Amino acid sequence: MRVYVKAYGLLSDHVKEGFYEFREGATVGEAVESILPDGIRGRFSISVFVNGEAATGERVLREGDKVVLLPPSSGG
Amino acid sequence: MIVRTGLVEGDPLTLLQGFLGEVSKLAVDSEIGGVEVFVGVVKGRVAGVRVEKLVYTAYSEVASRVLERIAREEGERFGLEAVAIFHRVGEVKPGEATVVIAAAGRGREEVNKATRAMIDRVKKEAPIFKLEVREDGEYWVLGDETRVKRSRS
Repeated sequence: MRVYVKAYGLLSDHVKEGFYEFREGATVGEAVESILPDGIRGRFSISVFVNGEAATGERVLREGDKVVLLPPSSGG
Repeated sequence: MIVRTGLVEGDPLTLLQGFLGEVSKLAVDSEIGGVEVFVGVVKGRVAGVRVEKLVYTAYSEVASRVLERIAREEGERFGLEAVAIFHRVGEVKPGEATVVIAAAGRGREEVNKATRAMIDRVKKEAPIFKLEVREDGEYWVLGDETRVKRSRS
């Protein structure tokens, strides 16, 4: 299945925006694990949104979902 | 309660002027006794190193909702009459405003507390991201002010 992924902030330097292929029934956690390079995974707290709503690692992805990866915020 | 929030590509101080105009009209027939304004600006130097600019990006559809929620919740918590949060996105040069937060209420105590609470929450909760472009390289700034030198995979 194809899922659209977009990353922000420092994650945007390591995750190219676009469609990614995952197995049917893949979870958010599995997708994030497979997308992020080794040096980044586990180094920062990462929030995930699916179709504009906050998502946990257990959420099952569906064809056409839009996944957004966010590093810690730094507004202000 | 008047609530004005948003992500802005231009100078947020121009929106502040409009907000203060609204507050001035409201104050004529309300208990407003004071307005506190916090303006964040880009530092020209960080640890002695010259800063060329900041580049803000935001997950806009969520960041806009978060700014509005913070303003509304803190305005209600402190019994304010009007609140505003305007956050810049895009490139911002040293000395320019990055964020404007304003609170109007009965007295200085509640508007001061509300302003502090709102800037603290904006830094932590709004999905807005800051790249610091300096003479010694580019750094992503994290919420705790940790800096991570930019590197691309």
